[in-house]
Amino acid sequence: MTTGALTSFVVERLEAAGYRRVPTPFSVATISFDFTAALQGSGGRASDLVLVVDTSVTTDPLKVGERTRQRLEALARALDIAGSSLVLTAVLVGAPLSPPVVETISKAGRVLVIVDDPRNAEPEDLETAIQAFDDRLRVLLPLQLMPNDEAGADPLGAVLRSLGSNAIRNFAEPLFAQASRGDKSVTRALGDILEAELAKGLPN
Amino acid sequence: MTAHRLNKLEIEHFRSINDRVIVRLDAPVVLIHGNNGAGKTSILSAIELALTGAVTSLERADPTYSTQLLHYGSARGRVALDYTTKDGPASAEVGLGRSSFERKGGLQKPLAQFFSERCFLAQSLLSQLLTIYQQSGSDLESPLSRFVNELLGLDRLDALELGLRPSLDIRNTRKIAPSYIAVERERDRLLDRVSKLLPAAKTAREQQARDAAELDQILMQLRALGLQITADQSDLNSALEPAGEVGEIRRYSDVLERVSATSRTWSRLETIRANSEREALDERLRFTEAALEKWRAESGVAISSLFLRASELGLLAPASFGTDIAADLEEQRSSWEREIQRLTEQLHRDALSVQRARKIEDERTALAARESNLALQLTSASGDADGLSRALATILPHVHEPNCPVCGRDYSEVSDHPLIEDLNRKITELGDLAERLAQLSRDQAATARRQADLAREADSLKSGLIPDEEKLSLQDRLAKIELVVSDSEKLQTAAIQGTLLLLKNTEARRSVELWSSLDSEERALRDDLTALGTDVGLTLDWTGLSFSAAIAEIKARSAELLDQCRSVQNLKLAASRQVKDLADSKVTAESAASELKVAQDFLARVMGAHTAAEAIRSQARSVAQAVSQARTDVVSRVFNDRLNKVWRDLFVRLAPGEGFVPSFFLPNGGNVGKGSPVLRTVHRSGDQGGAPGAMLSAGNLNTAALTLFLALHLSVETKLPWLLLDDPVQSMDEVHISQFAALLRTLSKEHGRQVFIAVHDRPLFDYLSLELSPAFSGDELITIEIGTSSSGRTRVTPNRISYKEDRAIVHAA
Repeated sequence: MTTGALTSFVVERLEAAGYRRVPTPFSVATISFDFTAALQGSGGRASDLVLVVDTSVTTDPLKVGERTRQRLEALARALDIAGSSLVLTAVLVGAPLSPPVVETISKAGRVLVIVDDPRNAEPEDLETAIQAFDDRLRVLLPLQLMPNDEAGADPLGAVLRSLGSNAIRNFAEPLFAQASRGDKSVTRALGDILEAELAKGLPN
Repeated sequence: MTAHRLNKLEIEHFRSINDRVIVRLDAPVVLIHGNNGAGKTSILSAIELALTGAVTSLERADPTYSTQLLHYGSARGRVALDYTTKDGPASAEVGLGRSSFERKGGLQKPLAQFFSERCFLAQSLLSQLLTIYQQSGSDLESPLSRFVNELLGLDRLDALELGLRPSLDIRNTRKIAPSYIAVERERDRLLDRVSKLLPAAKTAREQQARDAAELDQILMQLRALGLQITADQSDLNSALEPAGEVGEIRRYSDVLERVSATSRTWSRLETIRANSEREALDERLRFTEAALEKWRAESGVAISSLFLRASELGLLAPASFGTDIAADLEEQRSSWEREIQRLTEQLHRDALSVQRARKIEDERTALAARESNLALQLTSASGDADGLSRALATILPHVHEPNCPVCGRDYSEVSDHPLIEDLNRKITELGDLAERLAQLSRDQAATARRQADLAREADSLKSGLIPDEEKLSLQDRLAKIELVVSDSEKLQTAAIQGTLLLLKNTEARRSVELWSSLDSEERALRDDLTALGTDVGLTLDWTGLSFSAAIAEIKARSAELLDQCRSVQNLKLAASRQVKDLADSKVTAESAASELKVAQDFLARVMGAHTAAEAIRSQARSVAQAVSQARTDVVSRVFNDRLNKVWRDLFVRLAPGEGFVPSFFLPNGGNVGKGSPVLRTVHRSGDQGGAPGAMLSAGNLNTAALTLFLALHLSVETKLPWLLLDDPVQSMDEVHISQFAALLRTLSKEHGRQVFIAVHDRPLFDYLSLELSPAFSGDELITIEIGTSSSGRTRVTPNRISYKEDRAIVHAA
């Protein structure tokens, strides 16, 4: 099979994400299988088997979908027979297949569809196109996390600490204590504090 | 694998678990399958209960859930969880009773909260997350807002901010602290009062100063008059008491008066001396003496003899001549004339008496005659005329005929008249006679009385009559006295003369005597003046000093002294008064000052209180501001690009075909203030879409909810690397499910989460079992089948799957 530029790009992307190429053709349960490209995940993704299928290059455009399905199903069966726990994902690259066909294929395994080459996008849309491209493959890509700073299970505590001086902290503490009882309790506490101060100025 | 791990769970009679089951949890992924009601949720809830002491998932539905934890029909139950933390192995145990439970061990509050909020996706939380999409308002009460608030603990921040709001506007502050108004009023009142008291105090002080100055003035004057007196001496009041001034004033006044009297006397003396000469006076005396002597010899003697005669007659007469002979004479004459009068009267009276006696005698004689006549008449009248008349009258009715009732004889024989007529006549006659007799009797009695009266009168007269001899002597005396009187009248003129002469003589004599006495008087006067001078401290040197000069000097001195005394007296009085005034003004000034001070102190106090209250207000505003800022910070920290990025990543994984991705927006470009973040969608192209509820299908909404939960879990620092998911894929389609499985795998294998997932769908369970198989050495999967036996007991069938190297793929050579 010939490989297209987009297909190569997909393969590169997957390789960059930690997948390793599986030489094609390969056999499972003595049956030989050949796809445009095949990759297997590493580490935690070791049970992922990704098959890249170039849907543009075909001898029979009308039958591409059906053939792809057949091959994938055969592979799935073969893996079952072999007692494998590999999980199949098919990445269909190129001319889109009709939705019913895609749905049928997805019975055999996960199906991802890539149609456009993001590199063809206008310069100002390049980033969006790349992201859209990645989105298509997202399930295969590693999840990148940047944990937040501590959200603070105790926002009140954080506020109290953020107050500038001891004086204002001492003032705020009784009010904060009332916060869990609702705004009216806070208002009442504030009123009490004010009344206590004001009372010092009034005759008994 | 991280240090945190759930290891083993023991449940006994907890919720739908009827029996004692032990569940091993010590694998990276635990997959639980069971029909609805078999106990999958119970297992997950038991873990929550053991770790946190509550089952918030149940609490959301029913706050009294703690009564529903025990398996129905059991008396007691138990949940025990063994787990590992970074501090080492730990355990939590819960004893269940009918209405409550008791927990020992487990997580502390912050971690427990983290678990409930971010590790455990219970059904109720999922529903809540879904509701968020269905009502996508961003007001405070929307499910999203409530979710955000609960998640971030913003409700307390909101309570603080709202509660402190009255501190912004003083009008609202006054409402919550009514004393503000009182304090402000009091402050204004005191300011006004102080402004009024200040000038008053000043005035009082000035008055006090003036009074003190005045007192000094007066005392200075007193000092000038010789008193040793100062304003600050302690016995000032007693020093100002009168100290003999009154006496001195009297003394000097007295001196002045006596000097004046002396002066008058002196004037008189001078006048006399001026008016007459000694010789003239002597001559005069001689002349008058002679005249008097002559008169005495003539008229005097006559008058004396007259007096003698009078006295011989028993009349009043002076033994010697007084100064006013004429008056005496006249006076005596009056008395003599009175005597004449008396005698004349006496004699006259006597004459009258005689006359009367004679008259009486005559009348008596007449009366005697009458008396005998009457007696004669009375005796001659016989019988009882009256009685007889009456008797006859009784007979009268019995007389009818002309016959006499006695003898029976015909009366006409005797008389011409009828018997009755005669009888009547007789009766009448008798009656008349009786009457006459009665009258005569009365007359007789009257006469007798008269006789008696006359006799009495005659007797008394007789006794009062003057005997003839005496009468004669009286007459004689009378005549003599008359003579004396007439003589004295003749002598009156002479008497007058005599009186005059005597007067002249006396006057002349006196003048002479006066002259003599003038010298001694003058001497006496001089002595008086000397004494007076001494009284006023003057030693009079009489050489060459005239009386007038001396008098003038004494007058002047005593006037001066008097003046001085009066001055001292007045000044002392004035000073006393001033002392009092000063005391009063001092009191006034002091009280004004203290009143002012009191008011100022109160004012300071009030102002202090007001300032303090204002400071509190300001502090409250600062705090409110800090809270508001914190809120914004918190919200923006969580609902920021990072969360959106993770959420996007997760959502896209599960719904790769969905063009719109849900996202949080902070309105106002991040200054959320009171608002909550808003849920919107973003197209993959970058354009904004509408709210997720409008843009996404039901399946994708479920996905959005699920991925939001996971995003929230993943977007914070991993405190607990556990994910418990209770049947989260209820309405996902198959496409999503495979993505979901891949995601779970990612979370477990690549991000070290210990994943617990419960499903009721068999095929799904099988699929997941496959997808989540151990991928590398050390990786494991536990599957648990949970069901109910025919006897109703819970049956748990676990299965542990370890890693097996997969050699399915054989590469072509």
